[in-house]
Amino acid sequence: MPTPPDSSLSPNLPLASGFSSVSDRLAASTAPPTSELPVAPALDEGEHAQWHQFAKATILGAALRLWAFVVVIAVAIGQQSLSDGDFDDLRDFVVSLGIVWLWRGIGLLAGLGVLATIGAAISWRFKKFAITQEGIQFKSGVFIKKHLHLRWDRIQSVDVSQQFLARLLKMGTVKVESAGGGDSLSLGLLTRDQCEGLRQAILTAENQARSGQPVTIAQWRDGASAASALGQSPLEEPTYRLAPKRLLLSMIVSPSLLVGALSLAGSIALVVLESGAVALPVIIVLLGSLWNIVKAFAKKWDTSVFLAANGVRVRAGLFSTTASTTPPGRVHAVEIYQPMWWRRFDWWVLRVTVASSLLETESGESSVILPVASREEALRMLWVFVPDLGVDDPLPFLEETLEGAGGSERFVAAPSESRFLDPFGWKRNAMAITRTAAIMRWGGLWRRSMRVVLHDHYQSLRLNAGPWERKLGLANLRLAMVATSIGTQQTHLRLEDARELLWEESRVGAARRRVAGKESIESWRGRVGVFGTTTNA
Amino acid sequence: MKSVLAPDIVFTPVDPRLTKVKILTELFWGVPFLVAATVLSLTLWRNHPWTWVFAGIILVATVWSLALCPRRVRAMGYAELESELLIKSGIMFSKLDVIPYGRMQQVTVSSGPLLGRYGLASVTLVTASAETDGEIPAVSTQEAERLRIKLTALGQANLEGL
Repeated sequence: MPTPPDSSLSPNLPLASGFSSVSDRLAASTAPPTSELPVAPALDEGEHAQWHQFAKATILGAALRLWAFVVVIAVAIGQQSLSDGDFDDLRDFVVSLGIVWLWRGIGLLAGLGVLATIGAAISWRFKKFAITQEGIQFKSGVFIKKHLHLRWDRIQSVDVSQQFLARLLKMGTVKVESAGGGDSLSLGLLTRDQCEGLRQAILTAENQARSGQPVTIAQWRDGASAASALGQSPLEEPTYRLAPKRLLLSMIVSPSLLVGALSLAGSIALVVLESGAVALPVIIVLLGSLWNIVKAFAKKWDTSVFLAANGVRVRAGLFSTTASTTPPGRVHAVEIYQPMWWRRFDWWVLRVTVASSLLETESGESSVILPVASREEALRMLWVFVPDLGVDDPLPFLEETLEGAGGSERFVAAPSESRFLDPFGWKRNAMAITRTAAIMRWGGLWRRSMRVVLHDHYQSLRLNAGPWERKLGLANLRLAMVATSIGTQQTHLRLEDARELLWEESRVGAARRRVAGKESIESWRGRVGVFGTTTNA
Repeated sequence: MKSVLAPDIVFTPVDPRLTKVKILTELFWGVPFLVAATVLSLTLWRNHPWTWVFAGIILVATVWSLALCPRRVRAMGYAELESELLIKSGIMFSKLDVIPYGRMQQVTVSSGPLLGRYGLASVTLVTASAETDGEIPAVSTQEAERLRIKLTALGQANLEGL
C-alpha cells in the first residue's frame, strides 16, 4: 500500500491534506478499476493481427486544408500590399479581372480540391494500425511503405487531440508519444468515444505490459467507459483546473490588455476623425491584435493538470486541445514567479526545465505547468516535482523565499552596491544552498520569482564579472543545465559571496551526485498517490 | 598566475605562442578590410573625404585588438583540481568555468593550420549543456595529449549521468 514517505515537505504542509485524502482513498479501495467493456487478449503480429482503419472523414481534411492554405496566402498578400501602400492598385487589378476569371478561379480551386481528396482517399486506404502483445503497429504509405512499431515501454504519453475541423465533426486523433523524442503516432480520425476508449485501452495495456502481465485489449471500437467524460482515465488523478473566470480575470489584469485597449481607443479616434480610406489598415491591424488575444486565451482555456502514471500531464486548449506529459525524474529546475499585476490576487506561474529533446525545441510556453495558480496550488505542484527542499523547516523557508528580503542565515543577499545595477530588486535578490537544491530568489517590483535548481543536475558552474561589476565588487554565478527554459544565473552578488557559493555548490553537487538518490517513477507514483499498476503485489 | 575570481588557486597559463597565432589571425582579418576601405576612399569615393572615417575606424579597431592580444593571452589559464577542471579567461569581462570531471561527455583535441605550425593544440570539453564553455585555447601538443588522456580517464572513473 503506497503511503506518503517521510518527506520533509509533505507532513508539515497543511495543503498536503489534499494529497493525504487521495492516499486514504487509495488505501480504502484495493481492487483495481475494471473496464466495463469486454476484453480480449491482444493478438500476435502477422496476418492474425487485427488491423483497424480510420474514419472516412479523414479524407475530407485534405481538401479543406488546401483551401484554408489558399485563403491564408490571399490574406497574406492583402496584408503585404496594405503595408506597401498599393492596396488600391491591387483592388483595382482584382476588380478588373472580371467575372470570367472569378469562375475560372473557383473552378481551379474545386479541381485542386478534388485532386487532393482523391490523393487523401488513396493514402487513407493504406493507413492502418494494430495493437499487439509487443506494442502498437502502424502501416502507411502507397509507394514508399512505412511500418512503425512502437513498443509498450517506449510510450511516454497518450492523448486525444482535436483540431478545429475534428471538433466540429465530433471526432479526434489519438496521439501517442514515445520517450526520448522519437517517432510519435497520430491515430486519427476516429469518433470521440472511440478515441477515449482507445486511449484507455492503450494505457491499460501499457500498464499490463509494464507489470509483466499478458496484454489484453478492451473492445474500444464500440465506445468508451463512463469515466472518459473529462478525457481522464481511472489511472489519473486531477490536481488542478483553471476556471474560466480566473483565466478571464488574469488576462484582464495584465498590461497587454491595457495596451490593446489603448490602441483600440486610439484607432477609434482615428476612424472618427479621419476619412474611411486611412482607417481600413488600422482596423485590420486592430483585428489582428484582437485575434492574437483570442488565440492566447484559447490556448490556456481549461488548463487541467493530472497526475498520471508516466508523469504530470497538462491539457489545455479551446479550439484544439494539446497535451504534454512531463516525467518528474527529468525535471531539473522549477520556477515560481509572480508578475506585479497579480500581486493583489496572490497568483503565481509555475514553470519547469525538462531534460528532454521534445520540449527543448519548443518555446518557453510549453514548459509552463500552471499558468495561473494560487500560492497553495503552486507550492503543492512544487512538492510534486521536488520532494525534498533540503531544509528542516520547509514552510518558513518557503515563506522567506517568496516574501522575504535581505540576507539571513540561509540566504546570501546581494550587497547594497548592486542597487546601481538592479534599482528595484536588489533588496530581495539572494541565493541559498540547501542539501538538495540551490534556491535563487529574484526580483522586487516587476516580477518576483523563486527558482529551485536541483544540485544533482547541473553540468558546470560559471563565475563571471564584467567591468561594471568588477568596479562595484560584484560577480554573477551561473549553473549550466541541460535545457535553458529557466535561466539559472544569479547576478550581482558580492564577489566574495559568489566565490564561496561557487565552491559550496561544487562540493554539495559532487556529494549529491555520488549519493545517486534519484526518485524512481514507481516511488514517485506512491508518493503522490497515483494508481500505477493493476496488481497490488 | 592568479585570478581575481579565484585568488587562492594557482592557474597554469596557456602557451604564450598563442599570442603570435592571435596576432596573425587579427591581421588576416583586419588588413584586407583596411586595404579595401583605403582603396575605395582613394578611388570611388574620392570626392567624399568623409569616407576616410571607415578606414580610420578599421585601423583603430585592428590596432586596439593587436595591442590587447598579449594581455588577453596572459589572462587565459586552467587548473586541474581534484574533482573539477577550472578554466579562466578575459580581462575586462573575466570568466571562470568550473567543470566537474564526471560531467565531461567528450574531450576533443584539435589543431588547425596556424596552431599546428607553432606546435599547439586546443582542448575542448563538451558537457550535456550548451552553455558550458570548456575550451583551453592553446597548449603544446604533448600537454594536450596528456590532458586528453587524463580527462578521459577521470571522466570515465567518475561517470555521473544526467
